[in-house]
Amino acid sequence: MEEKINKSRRRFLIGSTTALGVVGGVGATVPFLCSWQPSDATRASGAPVQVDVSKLEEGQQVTIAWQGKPVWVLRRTAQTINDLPKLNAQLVDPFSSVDQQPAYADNLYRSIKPEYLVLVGICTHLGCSPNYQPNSAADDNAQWYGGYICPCHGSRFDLAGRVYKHYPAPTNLVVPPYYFKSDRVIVIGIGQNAKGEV
Amino acid sequence: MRRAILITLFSCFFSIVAVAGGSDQGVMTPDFSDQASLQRGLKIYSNYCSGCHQLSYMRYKEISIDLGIPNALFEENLLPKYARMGSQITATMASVDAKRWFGAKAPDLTLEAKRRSPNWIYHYLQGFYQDKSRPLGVNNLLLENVAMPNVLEHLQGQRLLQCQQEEKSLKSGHNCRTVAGKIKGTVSEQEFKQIAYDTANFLAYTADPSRFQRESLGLKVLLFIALFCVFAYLLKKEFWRDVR
Amino acid sequence: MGFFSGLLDWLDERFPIKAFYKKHFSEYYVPKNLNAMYVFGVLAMLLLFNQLITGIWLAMSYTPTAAGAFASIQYIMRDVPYGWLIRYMHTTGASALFIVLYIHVLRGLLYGSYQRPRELVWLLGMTLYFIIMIEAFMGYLLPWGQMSYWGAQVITSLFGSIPVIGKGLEQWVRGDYLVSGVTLGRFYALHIIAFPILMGLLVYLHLSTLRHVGSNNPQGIDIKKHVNKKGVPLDGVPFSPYFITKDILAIAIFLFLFYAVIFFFPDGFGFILEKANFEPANPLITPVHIEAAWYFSPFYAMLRAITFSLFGLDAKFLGMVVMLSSVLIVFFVPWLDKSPVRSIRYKGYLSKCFLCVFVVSFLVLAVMGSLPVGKTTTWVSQLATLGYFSYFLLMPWYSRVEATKPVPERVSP
Repeated sequence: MEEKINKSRRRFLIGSTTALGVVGGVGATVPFLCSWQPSDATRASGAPVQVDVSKLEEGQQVTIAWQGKPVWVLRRTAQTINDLPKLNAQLVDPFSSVDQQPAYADNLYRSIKPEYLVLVGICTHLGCSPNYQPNSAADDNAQWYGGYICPCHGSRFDLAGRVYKHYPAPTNLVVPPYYFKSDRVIVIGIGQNAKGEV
Repeated sequence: MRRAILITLFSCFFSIVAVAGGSDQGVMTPDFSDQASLQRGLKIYSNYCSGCHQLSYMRYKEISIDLGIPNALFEENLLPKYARMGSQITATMASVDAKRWFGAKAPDLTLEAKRRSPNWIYHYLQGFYQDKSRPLGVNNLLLENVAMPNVLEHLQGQRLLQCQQEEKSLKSGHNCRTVAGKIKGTVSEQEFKQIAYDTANFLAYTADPSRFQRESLGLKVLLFIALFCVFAYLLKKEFWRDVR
Repeated sequence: MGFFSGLLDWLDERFPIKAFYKKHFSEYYVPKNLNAMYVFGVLAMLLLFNQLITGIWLAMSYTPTAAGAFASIQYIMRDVPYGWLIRYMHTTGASALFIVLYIHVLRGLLYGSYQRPRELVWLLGMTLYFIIMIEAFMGYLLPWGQMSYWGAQVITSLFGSIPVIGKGLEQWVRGDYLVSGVTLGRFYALHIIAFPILMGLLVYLHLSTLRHVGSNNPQGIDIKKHVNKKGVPLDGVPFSPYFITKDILAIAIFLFLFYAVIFFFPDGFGFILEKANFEPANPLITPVHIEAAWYFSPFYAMLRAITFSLFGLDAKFLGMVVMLSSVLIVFFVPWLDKSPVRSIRYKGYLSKCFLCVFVVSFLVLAVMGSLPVGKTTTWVSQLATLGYFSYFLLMPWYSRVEATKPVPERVSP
């Protein structure tokens, strides 16, 4: 006790050791936080998938899994394609100004080819998967040329995945990245512009 | 005194390690930094092993990244038609068939280098010899009554068993070796050793793929803790100066 | 500043933080002569915490079924980001915990930390150790490798050796005719929920009884005998900051060694992760060389050392009794030791000799348990088993008859 206590040295050592300890402690949590990222097995299921559309009839829709999500591929009839512009007044975002689709699908049909619609089948409200209702005449006064109705909260979308007004869903359905590998085959998961690079 | 004991213990330890390492010249040590060797090993696996043996815990993508093979090149040349880059490496031969043809399931090779050792694989691949009493006509020094055909025979050539007579008291196999037979292989003995090395090296990698990340991260972590130790030591010393 | 001291006061009125800090840190007096052997308690706590956190993270990706367990471990090691690190921390942590605990117990034996008034600390600590052994044994089955499977098979078979009820008990424990997915399921539930809760409770009791009676020291001197006017022990220093800084240093050095193993020798040369465990469990083929995990090796050697029947009881049952009593007998040390002094420093030659015999026997048994069974290993194990038990069973005699040295009144630094 005879020696004088060097207070500033003590304060420096406490401060620096604590600082290092905090850095170490935070560093130790990194692997634990990172391990919640999707695993390689999950990423493998998110790899691009191919769909053969040659067997699809007009008005027929197939659902496939990409990243574990339902993805719809619909072959629209000529009638449907003609009806799309008539609905504009009833829709929240008829011209797709909200970024819910790749640039190459940012058009009236929300698709590369008007005939084929590709959508992620998850409602933009709270994540349920809407049902495909091609013809059923809806019972309310909105014009209805077929579309999608979400079973959870009743949100309605037309056959380009555009949301109707006065329903809970805020935006149009998402169009995933995709491209036509050939006339018959669509690849979902890689965009048109990335084609050929991989 | 304490110091002397420690020094003696340390020197003992290292001399034992040195003797153990130096006594057997046939020991192979995996070298993960040798990417060319790992790539050759992958090629041998794809050409000769993958028909029967799976690497079911590995993914193609992981190999292409770790071995520095560009994605597109890998997809074109090494990826089977039915597989995707993200899939695990499964064999084409069903295990039911294997049991019927060879009497045993072909083991998954992902962890073989951990279950046995890379060195074991290295010697096993070189240990085949002609044995008419076996259904496949071959036997192995390391794995008696082996159920696997010698798929590398056309490379290595036929080998014959030669045992030393005078040391019969020892366990069989320990004093036996193989010598070149009549039918020569397409590669030299040295080249074949390299083939066995590359395969063992590649399988050592599949058994321990985290090693790339592990050792580089480990160095940083240890350096950090060492730094922390210095500060913790100074802090402790500073406070304990009070205590007499 | 004002805000934080205000918050502290607000909290303190409702929960006595300041009094707690005073009682257990700033005015908790610890003998100033504690040596390096006294850091292993805090290291054990650190490792239990490590096991808890890494265990929770492993449970997120592990599949407790016979079909999925082995593959899910490889999934953790390869597919889950940093899964390999988390698992290696868990496997290396288990081995490290046993090293730390063995030194911790040895420290207690060396300095008589079990003697009056610390008997309860000792009993609770030993109970904790026993629970940790069972916890480790059950956790060992989860990777569902060959060694996991056959280790569990052997140990659960021991229940079958109990006369009359054995066979039924064996099946009841396994829930099947052999160790199977059913066994795995129950071991998993116990390993991740039941036993950790029990261990948490025991750690709390072990620590609070220790804090009540205070730490022993290498000289076995009661520091509470000499106090100043305020009642502060003259030979004590407050836990904070002196032992906080000392423990931090110990933890730092320990972590360096711990992570060196994790990052550079995660298999521990086959001691942490055994070769045979890289092969999925196969109930039809036992691996040629089956051995216990290294930390159970001494007890396993004692089990194997009993190769003879006695009093109409068969060797298998006797082996189990010997193995079980080798752990249980340690509980009774506070009442076996009749010595008037605590520390080995003031005990006589007999105590020192028998402690040496005990340590050597334990190490020899550890080696024997890891070797294949043979004539030599069997008789060496038998001899070492005798050595192990003689330390305890003869303690009432040698601790009473030997001459002890006088214990000083005050500690010397």
